[in-house]
Amino acid sequence: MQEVKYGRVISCALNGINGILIEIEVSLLAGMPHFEIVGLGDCAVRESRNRVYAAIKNSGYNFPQGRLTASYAPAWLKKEGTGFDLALALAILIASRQLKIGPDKQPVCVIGELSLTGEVKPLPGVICRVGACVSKGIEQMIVPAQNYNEAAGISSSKPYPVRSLRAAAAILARNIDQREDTANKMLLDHSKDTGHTIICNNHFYQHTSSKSVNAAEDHVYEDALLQFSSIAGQQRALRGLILSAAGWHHSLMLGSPGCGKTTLARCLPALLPDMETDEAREVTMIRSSAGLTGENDSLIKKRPFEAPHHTASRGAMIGGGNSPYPGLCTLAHQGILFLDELTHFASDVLDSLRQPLEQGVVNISRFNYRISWPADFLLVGAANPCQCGNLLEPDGKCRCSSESVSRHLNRISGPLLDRMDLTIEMTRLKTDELPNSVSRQLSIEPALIARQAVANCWQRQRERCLEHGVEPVHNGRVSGRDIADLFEISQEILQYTANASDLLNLSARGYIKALKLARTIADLENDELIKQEHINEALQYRLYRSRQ
Amino acid sequence: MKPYNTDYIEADNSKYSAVLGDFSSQDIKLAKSIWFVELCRQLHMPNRLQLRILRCCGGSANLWSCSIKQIIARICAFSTRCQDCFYHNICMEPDNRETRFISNRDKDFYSMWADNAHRDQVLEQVRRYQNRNIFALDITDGLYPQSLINISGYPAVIFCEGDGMRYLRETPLRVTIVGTREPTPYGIKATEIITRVLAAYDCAIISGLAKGVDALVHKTTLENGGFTAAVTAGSTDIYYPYQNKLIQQEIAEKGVIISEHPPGTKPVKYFFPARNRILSGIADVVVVTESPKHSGTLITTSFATDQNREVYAVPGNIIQATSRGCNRLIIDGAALLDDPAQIIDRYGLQLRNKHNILPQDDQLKSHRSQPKNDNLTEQELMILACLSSYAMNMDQITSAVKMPVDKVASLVTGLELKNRIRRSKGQYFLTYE
Repeated sequence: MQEVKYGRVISCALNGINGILIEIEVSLLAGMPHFEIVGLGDCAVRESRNRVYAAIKNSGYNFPQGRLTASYAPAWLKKEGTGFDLALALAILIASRQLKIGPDKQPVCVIGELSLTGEVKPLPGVICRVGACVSKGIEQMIVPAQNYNEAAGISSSKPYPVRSLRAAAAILARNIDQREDTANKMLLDHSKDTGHTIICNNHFYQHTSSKSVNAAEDHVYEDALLQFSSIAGQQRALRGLILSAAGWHHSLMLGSPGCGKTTLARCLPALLPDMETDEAREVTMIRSSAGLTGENDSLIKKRPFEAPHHTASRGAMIGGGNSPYPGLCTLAHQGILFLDELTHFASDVLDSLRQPLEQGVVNISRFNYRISWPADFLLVGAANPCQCGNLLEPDGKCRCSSESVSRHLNRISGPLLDRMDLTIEMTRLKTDELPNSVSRQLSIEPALIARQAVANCWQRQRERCLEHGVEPVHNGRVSGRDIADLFEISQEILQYTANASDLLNLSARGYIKALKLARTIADLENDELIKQEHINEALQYRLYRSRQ
Repeated sequence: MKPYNTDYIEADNSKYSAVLGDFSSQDIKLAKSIWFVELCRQLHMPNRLQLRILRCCGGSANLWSCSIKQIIARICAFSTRCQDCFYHNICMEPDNRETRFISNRDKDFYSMWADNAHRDQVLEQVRRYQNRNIFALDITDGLYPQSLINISGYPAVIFCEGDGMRYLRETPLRVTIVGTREPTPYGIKATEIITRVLAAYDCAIISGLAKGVDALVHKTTLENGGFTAAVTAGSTDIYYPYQNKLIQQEIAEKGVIISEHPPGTKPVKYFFPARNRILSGIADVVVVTESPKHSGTLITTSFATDQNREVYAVPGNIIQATSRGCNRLIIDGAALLDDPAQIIDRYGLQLRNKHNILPQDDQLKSHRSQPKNDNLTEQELMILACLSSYAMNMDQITSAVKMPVDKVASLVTGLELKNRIRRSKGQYFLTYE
């Protein structure tokens, strides 16, 4: 009877932001030299034959002769990308008896792309795959060294960083207690472990965003801090933004062109506290699966800031595609989605934001998948108040008729406007403030103070929720029926607000928005109880529609 | 070239005598007027010719069944010179007959005049308006406003809804009060004071039923039991702007709505300036309560000066752009109106209800007295003092009172809730109690 030449390695595929365990089997049979991969792989998977062939050869191993069949199971699942190269190469080595797995037979998940020289390249979505493995009880993983920090973001995982096929093979050959040492040793003398001289020293290949995101986000954050501190004038808008950040209230900025709406919105990341580990893990998973993390990045701590152009399509906003790809509202999860020129967005794109705004998740249904992604973002819109943009300017330049003004704002659908808790109105800087706006302030003190105030405010909201025994939510996310109970608003204030909203023609939703915002104002001022002045200030941020 | 042909196609109108039996005399008149106006519009007939035809034939009612021959004969009988008689080459003078030729427009005129399809169409249309009190007046009618006749380009036919035409004609004074569509609290108050006082007197108050001051004029007059007439740009049955629907219906009941367009005509851009000529022409006095520099109101006043109407303007704050139009009018020679008594004394108006002795002076005095500041805090008074000279936006208020933004925001809303200030286009204005 013929001896069976067979190898099996576990790898992990990426489906949206979820990892799915894949079993890679290789069977070596007698026959004419032939190499085939089965199991619904895409182009990149089929091309991996050539990379794996070269990598095995160039790492000093022999590529086995004969009929070689690789099967990726489950076979019904479409597999994409280059993450299976390393696992396939190892399976071939096992099948051809060039590699023997360590005696304890503990399962190890292997991911990584191979270069022709046998080096291991970084991948998108590593943290998602690690998470999937851990949840399936597989703790040991071989991951590209550049993705090690990201993989280590999942606690209880045991990732082994590798830089080459030889290192991966060496790790697999060891017993479990020696694997970590081996990995570290192989990392240190990486130059030797490829086995022979690398002829080509130029590494043209670069990962899509090889620049570290962690470094980039630090830069953005520093910049936002400086920007915030150097804002001259616009104190009212700044106050509005701080409130928006402090209570996680969606906001709409209305102002003439050039009054600084975009500049202000870009300061917002500086005001928001860093993410908790759980949040950071989720956000890192989303961004990693979209290929938006870089080499050597660990968990993303700073909140994302997404500012799409107003020609963004519905798919780009919500997500979807042939294989699921997260949209902007998911990428902005736990962060800010800034929509500049809100009135110019296509109305269907804006309306598609209604579900994520309402529920904090986005459910995407296509014929071949149904996915629910987190999408809890802070929506900040900016728009001109009328066609010419000068409506709010005191110089009376605006010649727009009241019909054209309402037509202009009606481009944003009512339900979306309803969810904007604050309307921040801005006018251009006065002449005496202009010189300050072009000089760069070097102290970031004001921004840090504001940031601390926001963080304290968040803490207060969390404590209040815990006191009442409810899931911690921000003031902006509290549902209408919980308000009176959770916010401890006195009957007197409720009545006062009701009278005020009657006088100001506010809807029931406007009334609720005022209460929520007043709670945030009181929190920011460290007041236990909501007072009349808080309600008054909150009402100042209502959306003003012209009355007859 | 074909010599002039006298074989006109003459319509057979005899069948209509039976059909028209179903209609009331008012609707018959309306149908005949609509038919005439539509015909004129389709033929692009100049206004002076419309007027001439109506004058010569004794009103639109007679035209319906006139033959072309009859019309031309009548016009010839009324004319001294041959070229006066008609606008094109349909002259019937025997010595001209051989030398003139038929143009295409003349052919149109003959065939349309004779075409009964138009008459059927109009009757169909009138059936829809039967239950509404819409009627037509042409220049030969006794109720046609006398004051309109002496302006240039007055409409040959006007369409009215309501019973107020007689009052409009007989009342000693017709006042048109107009102003901006976006009045400030000052403009609103000024309009209210003037309208309220005038409404108590025996005069007709006319306005254009637009947004803002116009709607306010109608509303205040109706509330105070005065007589009001509206001149609309579209026809009387079209609600434009739609928000004024209720006011328009009430005017149709208690006053009168006037338009030069047959029922069912929606307003288009150029109807509005044309409407303004009637608005000023129908009145003896035009009052402007508030107007910025560029405003449709100023079109009305320029018509008014052309038509020799008296123009009164309410002066405004010289700092504020919203008063610039009115102040300009005063510079250009309009009378400065600071008290409606000026108009009442000038024309010797009588109180509408003799028993109701209007404490006019007291009323004005109360308007001019300062509102009480008892229940206001010092900071609130500071903000009121800032706004007393002219309107400011939030940023301006904040820098003027030198308080933190959140404090100012809360104070301003508080004042707004106490109805001491009001916001318009991002600016805060003092209100007047």
